[in-house]
Order: sequence, then structure tokens, then C-alpha cells
Amino acid sequence: MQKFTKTIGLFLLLCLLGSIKVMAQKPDSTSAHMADSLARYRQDSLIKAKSPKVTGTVKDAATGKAISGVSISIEGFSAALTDDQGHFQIAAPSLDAVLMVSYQGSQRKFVALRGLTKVPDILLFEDTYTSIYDEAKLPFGAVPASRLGNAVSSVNTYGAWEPSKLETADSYLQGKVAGLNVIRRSGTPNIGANLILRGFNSLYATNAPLIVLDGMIFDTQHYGNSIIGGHVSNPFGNLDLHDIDNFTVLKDAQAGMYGTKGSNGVILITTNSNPDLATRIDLGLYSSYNYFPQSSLLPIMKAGDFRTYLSDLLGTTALTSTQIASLPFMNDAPSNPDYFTYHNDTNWQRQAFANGYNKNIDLRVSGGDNIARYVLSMGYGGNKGITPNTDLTKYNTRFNGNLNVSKNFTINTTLSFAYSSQNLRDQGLSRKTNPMFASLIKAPILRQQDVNSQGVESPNQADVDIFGYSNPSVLLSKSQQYSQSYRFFGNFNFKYQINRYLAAQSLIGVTADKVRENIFVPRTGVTDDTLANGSVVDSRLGSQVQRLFNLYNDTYLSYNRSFNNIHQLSAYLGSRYTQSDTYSNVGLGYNSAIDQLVSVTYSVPTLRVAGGDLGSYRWFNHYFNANYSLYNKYIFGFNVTADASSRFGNDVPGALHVGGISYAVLPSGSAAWIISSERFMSGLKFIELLKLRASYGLTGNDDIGNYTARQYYVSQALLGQQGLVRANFGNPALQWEQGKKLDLGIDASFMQDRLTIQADYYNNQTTKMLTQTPTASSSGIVYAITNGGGMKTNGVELNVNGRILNKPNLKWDLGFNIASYHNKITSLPVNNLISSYAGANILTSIGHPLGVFYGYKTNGVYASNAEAAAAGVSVRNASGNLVAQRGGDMRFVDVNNDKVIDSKDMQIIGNPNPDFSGGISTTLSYKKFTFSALISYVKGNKVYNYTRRMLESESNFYNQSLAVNNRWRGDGQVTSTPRASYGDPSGNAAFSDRWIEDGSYIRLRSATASYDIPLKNKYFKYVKVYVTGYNLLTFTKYLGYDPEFAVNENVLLQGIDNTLEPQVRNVQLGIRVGI
Amino acid sequence: MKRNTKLIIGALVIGCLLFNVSCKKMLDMKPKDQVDVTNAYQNVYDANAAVIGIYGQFMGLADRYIVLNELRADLMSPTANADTYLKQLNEHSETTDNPWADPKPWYQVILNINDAMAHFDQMLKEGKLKQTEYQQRYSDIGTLRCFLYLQLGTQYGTIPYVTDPLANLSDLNDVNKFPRLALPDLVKKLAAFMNDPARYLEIYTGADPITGSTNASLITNIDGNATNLFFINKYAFKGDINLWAGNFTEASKAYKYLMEYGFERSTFTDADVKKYEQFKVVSTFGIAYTNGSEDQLVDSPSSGYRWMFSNVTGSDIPTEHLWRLPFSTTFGPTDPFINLFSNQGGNYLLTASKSIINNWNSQVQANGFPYDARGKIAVRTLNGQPVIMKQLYFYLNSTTFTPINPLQKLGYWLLYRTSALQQHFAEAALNDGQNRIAYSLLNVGIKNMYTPYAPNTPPSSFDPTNSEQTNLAFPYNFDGRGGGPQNYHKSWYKEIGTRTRANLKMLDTTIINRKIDLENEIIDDSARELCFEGYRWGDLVRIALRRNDPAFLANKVADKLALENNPNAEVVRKKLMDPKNWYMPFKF
Repeated sequence: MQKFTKTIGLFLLLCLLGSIKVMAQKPDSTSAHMADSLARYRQDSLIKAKSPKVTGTVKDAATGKAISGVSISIEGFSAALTDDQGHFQIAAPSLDAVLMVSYQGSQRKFVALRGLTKVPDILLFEDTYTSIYDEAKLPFGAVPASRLGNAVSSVNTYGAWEPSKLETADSYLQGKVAGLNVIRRSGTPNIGANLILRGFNSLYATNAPLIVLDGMIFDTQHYGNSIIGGHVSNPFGNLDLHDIDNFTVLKDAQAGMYGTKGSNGVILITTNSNPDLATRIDLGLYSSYNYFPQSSLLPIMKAGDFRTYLSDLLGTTALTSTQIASLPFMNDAPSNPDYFTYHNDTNWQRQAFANGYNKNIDLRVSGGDNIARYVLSMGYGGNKGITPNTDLTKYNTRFNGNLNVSKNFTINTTLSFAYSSQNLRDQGLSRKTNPMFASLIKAPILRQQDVNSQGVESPNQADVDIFGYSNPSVLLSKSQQYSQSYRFFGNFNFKYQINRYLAAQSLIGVTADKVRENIFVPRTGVTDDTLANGSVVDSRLGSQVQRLFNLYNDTYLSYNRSFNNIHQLSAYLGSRYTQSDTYSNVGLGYNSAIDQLVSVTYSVPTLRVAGGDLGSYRWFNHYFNANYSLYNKYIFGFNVTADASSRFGNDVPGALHVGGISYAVLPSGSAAWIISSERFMSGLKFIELLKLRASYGLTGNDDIGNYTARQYYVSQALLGQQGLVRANFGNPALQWEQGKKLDLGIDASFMQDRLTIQADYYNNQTTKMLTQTPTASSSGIVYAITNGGGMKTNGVELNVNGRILNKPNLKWDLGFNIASYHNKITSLPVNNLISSYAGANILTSIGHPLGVFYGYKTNGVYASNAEAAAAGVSVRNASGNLVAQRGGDMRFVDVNNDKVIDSKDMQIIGNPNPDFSGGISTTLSYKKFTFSALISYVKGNKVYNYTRRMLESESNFYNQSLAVNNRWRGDGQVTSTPRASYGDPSGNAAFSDRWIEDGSYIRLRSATASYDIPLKNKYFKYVKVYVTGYNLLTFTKYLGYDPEFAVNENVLLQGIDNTLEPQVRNVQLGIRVGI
Repeated sequence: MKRNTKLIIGALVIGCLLFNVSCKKMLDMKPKDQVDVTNAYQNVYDANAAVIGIYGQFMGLADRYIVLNELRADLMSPTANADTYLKQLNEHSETTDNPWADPKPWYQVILNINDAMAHFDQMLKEGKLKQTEYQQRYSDIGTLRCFLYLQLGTQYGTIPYVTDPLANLSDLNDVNKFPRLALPDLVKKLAAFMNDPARYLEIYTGADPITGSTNASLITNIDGNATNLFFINKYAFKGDINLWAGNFTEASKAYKYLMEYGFERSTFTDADVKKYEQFKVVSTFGIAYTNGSEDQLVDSPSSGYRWMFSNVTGSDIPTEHLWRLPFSTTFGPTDPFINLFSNQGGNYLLTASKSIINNWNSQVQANGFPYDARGKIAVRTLNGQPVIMKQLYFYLNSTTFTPINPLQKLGYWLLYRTSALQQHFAEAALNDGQNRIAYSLLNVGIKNMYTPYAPNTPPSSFDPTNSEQTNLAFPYNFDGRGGGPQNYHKSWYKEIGTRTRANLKMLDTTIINRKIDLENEIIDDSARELCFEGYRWGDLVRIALRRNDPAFLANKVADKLALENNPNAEVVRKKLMDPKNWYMPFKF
């Protein structure tokens, strides 16, 4: 019965959509008829003659001089040009009309008449000025910010000529968009960033905003992990930043127009659009220098301190003093044959970093005629990483073309191909193979090369040391981690203008992406590994191929019309379709005979592991979108999508069911009121624009796994024979995660557009959030994937831009944005889930934000055995036994006062979500000089310093930080650093607030000085030289290399420093020539 | 222009209509690297894959099966290396977070069996399986499910007895699909399943009975292992479940049928000793001394008592082994026993209890040696530590007892062997009023107890024609005649009784009429014979329940703890005096 009602409902909906089309069709056909007739022209002239006349003056904002030849128009009604004095007169349909003012090289401006027949002087800024009239490139066309009814941010790159190829499109956005928290994953070239728009919406599904590039979804999901330790393959690496014109970020329910892919917002990217007819060549050449200053090295022990620490530590082992004395490194007699092996003071850390030069070239050619226009771009980048022997080489090409086949038929195309190859090294938790980690923990008493008893060094690098640790110099010079990737991304967009108001469009495109990785870790000099079956691993070899192929289509009818210059309606009815196929194939091998055999084919056959994955899904997104504005003051938007996907269960409760398919029906709406366009506001001259807006709607997240809803079988071996067992329970009710987004915003501009302000409050709620739901014991499975959770994120954003100085030769712009979000889990099938990573516990709990750290709180160190005995507290060790605390042990807070420190005493010890974050940008231009700077900042986030925990654990032969010199050494010593104890029986290094630090920072993200060389030469349009510095200054209290890092996109792992390459400091010198 | 508009809109409407027709198909995307439910169970090979998969998964339960049945009983104890969770099992103080107490792994296999059984029914209906193919597979995994449920019942007391395939998640919330049964009711249910005459209780046929084709047979060879012993022995389990249910005659029938398999139903010829030896306790694997001296115990990988734990290919092995699964060195799961028991290449978490050592040492051998020599084979002192050896003979070198290759974790999970069959038969017969038969099976064999001279050996001129047999109706109609002037070779002539095989002194015949004492002897000897093989906890629960005597179980467990100076021994004794506390907490 319910199904029947829903079917009827859908039918009615279709009828409604149909009737809109019919209604649209009627006036449409009449007007189309009229369009060609003289009668219409006469009628228009008659109306114009009767209309009120509006006059005004246009001036240059900086010089105050009048500008002639400025185009003034009222859309679909009248147009005029300014005269020599900058005056104009234009007929207006009513005094609620809006003038569009445009002039080459200047901003395009919209002026509401507000009932005036003589408008105040119109000041025009240059076209790169950040103003309230900047256009947002929305899916169905560009809309100036002043007319937007939704929370949208737009970033124009103006060619993005300053950044080098070390910067990718995702990291470029850092500090530029209020509410978009960009966390660069590490300092590795191309590694990209986590984009977090308005906090989090999901626990297990993606939290990354959808990327739509030139009208087509740019797939940025990761399909499988890298086999290179700590590496993340970044799809943005295959999108050249220099090709991008504009980023438009949809932050609120408007993202719902992408249905079940829109819950994390949408970033629309436009490349090389609107080429001029004139042929134009732009060439950019730039070199840069990466460096890692010595002052940034971590303070770790030198040989002297380390020796003392070593003896202290050995004293806590089971070895007797005679045994300790007989250890080769404890024998200080130069006659000792191992004397030179163990009597060195090597600064391993310094060797883990290298400075390097980068070379980049960009070439862009554009031009065309009335029929066809094109932009062709090519680029090359050769960049070094800060780890020795790592580099990145990139090639990219792009062709964008517009072809007018006939008056009504146009074809747009964008085709791009990019290739990159990169030499990497393991990073992150690969303790044995991460050279950076190995260099921190390696004992300074050792040396890189083998040495004989006379102290003569051999050309051979030293093997694994007496403590069992790898030789960092071997990892840097002999191990190979290599990644190659390419992406083809191209589409054709056919557009047919059926009549003046109605058009049909269809975009069809493909994405073909491939990532190939090879690894080799030599046997000599690297600590052995052990496989699950107990086999000892000497050398490690591997290769992986990941492929992605997406087919995309977006077809729609559009209808645009203005009725009597009062009503403006645009409506779109269409459907998007994606078919995605992913493939991955990984082969890992071990123990090739010699270190010269580096391909996986040389590994021992019996130890080889092969794996892979095939995934496919299809997605349909049917949409209807309507925008209506009344008197240019009241703006309404409505959007509804009905999504079907092969990922959804076929019996989703409460969903629309048609023909056995569950549809996600997601409506959203927005309303805006431009108060400043009201006549009563005409007296308030300091207000350029004032707009209130509100939006609310539903979005969805379809990242629920391709086959999670289905019941399927996986292979189960019985010895060498494969049988099949059921892998899961089918879950026909499995559905998209549902997001509700509310946004209240204000857009304002004051003092003739000298100061613009955008402020937003939002409240996002996720329901039907994917969770791992524990099931009854008799289900035989640990948990089921169900839509059992919920989450809430609310926050505020503020974006302010202003021109502080506005003189003809001196202009100073300052902008800042700040955003804050509060995330809270509202429901879970079972509360208090604890995840573990790098020794940290991460708590997921109702009422708390995502990703909070969960561990012990500490309260100093027991100064004496007597003090510890008096406290009478024991620590429960891993095997469940109690260990009494003694002097020099950490005093953990015993929450339940049971005198036992165990998991019951854990509490929340840090929240990795920032209090607020944002950016400050400034540009100062003086004559031909321009100075610009971007500052990014984050405040109040807590981070877990895993690296420091390893360097201060005092439980093994790792080299330690200088803080360990302050360790507890004897009864009565008051210190905050516990005693050294081999194996850490008292759990002093357990996950506690000792390792949680404040991750706040403020950073000079980039600073550029450029100079336009004045030229009289007619061949050169411009020559610009510039110097840019990146990450030059960072202010932070964080004790690690750099406070900015991300393990990967997993929201539960935010704020964990697992020893990744720190951010690169870079100085760049460039020249750009326009011909 | 107008026409164009109409055309496009018309096309759009038609497109919309067509879309919903084709869409369902387009959105029905099946996994490519897994098998979708719609593609599984299409033919007999798919059915075989299900059976193989189930047994593959079942192997993951090996460690649980042994640890729960032995450590919670009185023959195995934790070493100093054992963690809290193993210690909890030892002291019957399991918390719900104890991974050993988690019933999920059992249910994982059970639900796969339910799923397969439901699909087999469907396949039979749709003609995708022939009746014989269906019945063989259905009965096999059905019996395995009963075996698993019996395990769950003995460990948890009251459990959800799920037989529904639970096709999707919403079924998990349907309480009707999870009826809870207490152990006695559960046992009745399982016995009813096994006693259903429709069950096919033989092992899988090697060839299709109609076509003769061997393609679809589950009797094959995997990595050098014949699969015929991979599958549960259904007669043995039928006997056991009837023994549990108190249907002693029914149990005896099943045991008897199986024990006479070689003689009655195999292809063995008269010349083949296996005809008389199969599934009977005969001298082959017995305790023996080469020249009567104590240090000349036959203790080699291919003869004597050790043989059955150290060899799988020996020609006599199939007379003793009824159900065993090999662990592969290349495919998971890894043999878990090495980690549990071995102090070389393993973590040595568990060892023999003092209680079992004392039990062995309380015995006297026929030649007067004051101990049971089976203990010498089952437990060895390696590097100064007592090590449970039954599961390690494939891993350790046969003379040096060091790992042959520490990384090659070779081993077997021996689930059922003839000794268990004979002991259980003795117990069934005893409880069915056949005390003398029980005594014979436990002690010296049928042949020796059914002569006028019994328990002494008859003179060589003795004519057994009217003797050496029970002259009772099935299942107690044993014929042990052998030799004599007629040179008899009757079915039971080689059978010698469990204690005789172990070279133990015969029990006093007066015990025949003391049922409880005789049963105690059977159980005590089972401990000595079958220790560490997963029988003990079941034996204790079954006897204690049948006698309604919790002390039987409580004392044995508590005595083990007391012997090892465990301070909780008396607490445990008191606790186990209430049968409710025998069971681990079931996390529903």
C-alpha cells in the first residue's frame, strides 16, 4: 500500500515537472515567434520611450577620473555607453532595475537603482579586485556573488602563476576559502591535502568535497592503499594548477544538486575558459630552491648523552654488570677491535634532509576566430623533495576548445592528459624503512660505513646495527620507492539552443587513471621483518597497479527567461550518470637473492603475496533545479534530485521506490533578500550591498561501498582447495548517508565596495550515518554495516576583504577569513568505540567530536620509591598483571580511585579539531611592483606527537631527545621526565597527555614580490619577474618538525604525527612573458 | 523550431519511461571479485565449494575446541606464559570480553552451514542437485552443525539454536529465528536430527552411483592429502549424540555398526588384517617394549603408541583415525597448537596438569612398571619443561625433538579416533545394562572375557566354537572367536580392550557389577588415553549430568587446581557444585 502511495507520489511529481515544462513552453513559443518580428522591436522601442531615464557617472576607483566607453546595460532591455565625461543615460523598465556596468580591464559591477533616476557615482576597480561582484561559476552558469542566494565562495586564480608545481590544486586553496580547512598531508611534492569543508559529516564514508571539473566529476577518491609506506597517491597531482581559472565552492544545501555525492559540499573548478580571439602566448619559467634549515632539526642526543642513557637503560635489563661491561660498545679501550664501530658522533638526522633545485616551465597558447576558439597548455616540472634522492617529474597537457557549429549548436571540449613519476621513500609508521624515523632513532655512536679495527672506513655501508636498527644511509641511497601515474580527463559538451529560452545540453566524458608503484627495500642495512607465517624477510619487493575508468554523462534541458524585467526564471531538468570501474593488482615479494635484483619477479616464489580488487558502480542523478528572482531583490532557489545507485539496497525503508529501485529524493531550497536594493535604502550611501540569505535542504553520501548491500560469497581455502563461504549478510535496507544542511548568511559591502563582508552560520546534520553495528553472538559476525549513526556539525564563518589604500600608484588590499566548527556525534549503535593507530586510542563517543584522543592523564613523576609506595598504585600491563609503581614512574591520574591504572582510567585527553582556522591575504602594489602574502593559521587543535613518544619512551635503544637528559635518576629527584626502563614495565610511555601537544600555528604560507618590466616592445605584451617564498616563517609551540600533517583522509586519524616529511621551505625565482 | 521542442520533450518523456525499465538491470551490479548470491549454488560443484568452504572455516576452531575442552577440565593447565584469558578458563572465571569465550566463531560456521543447507534444499527442488548428491552433502554438514551445537551446548549451557539461513540483516532481529535451548533439550534436538532415517551416514561416495563419474566427488586429494578423513564421521557422532541423549542402545548400534565396518562392509579380503583391525582397539598401536626393559619402550614415529600421532600415511593409520584435518604450511590457518604447546617455535602457553600426570603414575603396567607409558608419549620433558606432545610430533624432529623447520608449522587436528569410539561404546553398553561388554571393551577384549576361563587365558587346546562370543542380539552380538582347531577369524578376534593395548594391568573383575566404579574407570582411562584431544570436558559434563552429581565435575577440576596450589581451588569447587556455573557466559 505504502509502495502504491509512493508510486502515485512520483507520478504526481512527474506531472508537476511536466506541467512546469508545459507552462514554460507556452510563453516560450509565443515569444520565440515574436523574437523574429519587427512588431516586437517596435513594441520594445515604444516601451523604452515611455520608460524612466536613469543617469549617472562612471569613474575609476583609484584615480577618480571619469571613464568613457563603459558599457551600461539592463539585461534584456536596454544598453548605453558612457561619454567622455563618464556620463550615461539609460532607459530603465522600472526603478527597481539593476544596471550592469562592464569595461575591459575592470570589474563588472551591478548597480541597483533603488528608485533613483540619478545614481550615485559608480566607481570601478580593476578586474582582479576581490569584490562582492565576483562571479561564482555555478554548474549552470556564472552568477555574481551579489546575486547568490546560497553560501558560495569563489577563488579566481588569475592564471595562478606564482605557485610552483609543488603546489597542487587542493593545497592551493589553503587559507583562501572561509570554512575550507585545508591540511597538507606532508612536505612530499604532489602529496596534496585533506580538504575539510565545514567540518565532518561522516565516520566511515568520505568527508572530501565533490570535485567537479569543467562540468564533470573529477574523481578524487582513493581506491586502495599505496604500497609505499605513508604515501597517498593524489589525483590532484594530475591536474595542473596553472590551467585553473576559478574555484567555486558550494558550501550549503545547494551542493544537494549533486544528490548523494554532495553531502560534503562541492568544489567546481573551471579551466582555461573564455579564450580571447587574439592569439596569445604566455610562457612561464621558474626555478626554485627547497631547503630545510638546520635550526628545524629536532633536539636529539649526541654520543655523550646517549652513552649515559645507554648505561642507565642497560642497568634496567636482566644483564649483569659484567655482561654489560662486555658489550662491544661499552668497551672504551681503543684497542677494542670494535672501538671505531662504536665510538663516533654521527648526526644521522642531518643526513636525512637534502636541499634541492626545481625547474618548471609552463606554456599556454590561446586564440581562434568566430567559429572556433582554443586554449592549449603544456607544462613540465622537475622538482626535488627534501629527502635525499627523492624527486618528482611532471608533464601535463590540456586542450580546451569552443566550437560554434551553427548559430544554435555549439560544442565545448576539454581534454587533458598528465603524467608524473616520483621517487619516494617510505614514511610514516614504517619504523624499519622510514629513513627519517631511522635517522632519528639511530644511535649517534655508530657510523654509516663499515670500519675496521684501525679505524679505516670501508666503502660498504654498515649493516643493521647491534641494536637491530636499520642504517638510514642505506634506506636513503639503496631503497627504491617509485610511483608513476597518469590521468586522462576529457569531455565534449554539446549544446543546442532550441529557442531563445530553451536549450538542451549533453556532456559526455571519460576519466582514465592509472597509478603504478614499485618498491624495493634492500636486505643489507635494513632490519628484517617477519611475515605472518613466521618467515623472516630480508629484502622487500613489490609492485602495484591501480586503474580507474569513469564514464560520465550530464544531459539537461534549460529554460531561462525574464518576464517584464520583474520575474526572472531559470529552470533545469536533467540527469547525470556515472559508471565507475576500478581495478587494482598488487604483488609483494620477499628475499631476492641479491640487492641488485629489485623486481618482484626475483623474490622467493613461495613467499609471494598477490592481491587485488575489482569494483564497479553506477549512479544516476535526476535533477530539477529552478531559480527565480523577483524585482532583482528576492531570490529563490529550488532543487530536487532523485538518485539511484547500484550501491543502494533495493529495499531502503522510507525511500521512494519505483520499479524495484530505491531512489534518494533530496530537495533543497534557498531564499535571499537584497535589502540594499530596496528603495528605502537609497539614502544609505555607505552601504553598497546588503543581502540576507537562508538555505535548507537534504544531501547525501553514496560512499557506502560498492557491494555492502549485497549478500556475496568469498573464497575460503581448505588447504590448497578453494571453497566459498558467505562474506556478509545482505542488507537491502542499506542506504546513502543523509545530510540536512541549514545555512543562514549575510553578504554585505560597504564604502563603495572598499569593504566586503560575508558571514555564515550553518548547522549540518547527518543521519543514517554508516556505522559498524555490533550484532548478536549468534550472527557469527563481529559487526554489520548499517545506517545506524548520526552526527552534527555547526559553525560560523566570516570572510572580510577590503582595500585599505587606494591611490593610483599605491594599493593595499587586506583580506581575512576565519571559520570555526563544532562537531558532535549524536547517535551510534553502540557507544564508545575505540580505534587504535600508532599507539594512540581514538574515541568515538556520543556527545563528543570525531577523533578525540583517549588515554591517561598524567600528574608528574614519583620523586621517590617511598612516595610511590605511599600512593600504592599499580599499572595493569598487557598480559593483565599488575605492576606496582616505583620512584621515577609516571603518576597517572587514577580516575576511579581503585589504585589500579588500567583502561578504566582513560579519559579524553585532546581534541584534534581546531577552535578556528583560516587565512589572511594581503597585496600591496606600488607602481610596477606588487607584494603579496598569504598567511594561514589554525588554533586550538591538539595533535599526538608519535615521533616524540618514540624519542622519549626511554624503553629501548632508540636515540632519545634532549628532554630525556632530564630523566629521573635517583630517589628524591623532582622532574617531569620518568626514569629509563628497558621494556617499560611500568607503562611510563603509555598513551597519555604527555604526547598530546597544541597544534596551533600561524604560518607565512607564501610571500611574493613581483615586478612588471615596462616594455615598449610591441611583441611582448608583458614581462613579469617575481620572487616567491613558501612556508618561510611558522610560529608554533609544536615540538615536532611541523604542526601540519595528515596520515590520510581517515577522519579518526587526524592530528597524528606519524613521522612524515615536514613542509618544504621554498624560494622561487620566476619570469613570465606574454607575447 | 516548435517541432524541435516537442520532439525533444517527447524523446525525454519516452526516455524517462524507458529508463525505469532498463535501470533496474543497470543498477544490479554484481561483485566481480566475489561471488554474488545469485551466482552461487548453481550446480553440484558450487555445492562442493560450499562444503569445502565450511570445513576450511571449521579449521579455524581447532584451538578453541582443544583449549575449551581441556583447559576448562582437569587435564591441561596454563603455564607461566599464559595470559589472563587462559587463566580465566582454568579457573572458570571467564569474563565476556575473554576472546576464548566468544561464541561468534562457532556461529560463523553454523550460519554458513545453515545457508548451505537452505540452498541445498532449494537446489534439490530446482533439480540442480540429484537426490543422492543432496543427501550426502546435506547430511554431512548437518552433522557438522550438530557437532558444533553440542560443543556450544557443553560450553555455554543455554544457547540460541539457529537453523535459519538468516538471509539478510533484518533476520537478525527476528527473535523467532533464535530459539534458546538448554543443553538437555538441545541434545534431544540434535539426536532427533541424527536419528532421522533420511540421513546419509556413510562417507561420501567416490563416484556417482548412477553415472560412475568421479568429477563431482568430494573424495579426492588436496595437496597430497586424501580428503576421505576430512569430513565428520557421522556414525561416530550419531553414537555420541545418542550417548548424550541417554539412548544407549541407539548409541551402541551406531558404534557397533562402525566398529564392524572393516569386517562387514569394506573391500578388505580375508588376508588383509585391516579387515579385523579397522576401528577396533587392537595391539597395533599398543604400548610395547622391545625386550621387556623399561628403556626399550617402542617409541618411534612409525610404530607403537606414538605412531598414531606422528604418521598419517602408514597403512594401519586408517584403522585408528576416523576424522582428522591437516594444517597446511602454505595456506591458513596456521597450526595453532604449536604456539599453544611448544616451547620451541611456540609460546608454550599450556601444558599437562599435575592431575593427569598423577593419573598416569597411579597405574601399574602388566609387566609391573609403576606408571602408564602412554603418558611418556603424550607429554615429554623438553628443555626442562613438560610439553604436550600429541599435536607436535609433525613439527618436532622424531629423535631430537627440536623443530624440523621452525617456520614450517606442520600438524594435524585429530578429531576422532578408534580409542574414543571404543571407550564411548563401553560407556553406552554399561549404561544399557551390558556391564560385561563394557568391562571387556575397557580391559581385555571381548574374546578374552567370553570364555569359561575368563579372565584367564584358555589352554591352547581350547575350542572356541561355542565360546568367545556374546550370543546377544544386535548391537551386543560380538563374535571374537579366533584360532582354535578351526582357525577362526571372526570379526572381533583381534580386539584386545583399551587397557590391554596400553599394557595396563587388568582391572579386578569384581568391578563388573559395580556400575559406577566401572564407569569411573572408563572415564579415568579416557583421560589417560584421550587427553589433550578435546574429549575431556564433554566426558565430565555428560557423566555429571547423567548422575546428577555436580561433585563429579567440580572435584576433578578443583583437584587439578589444588594440586597446582592454585589459591582459588576451593572457590572453584564450590562454584562448580552448581551446574549453572559450569558454563561460560554467553554474550547474546
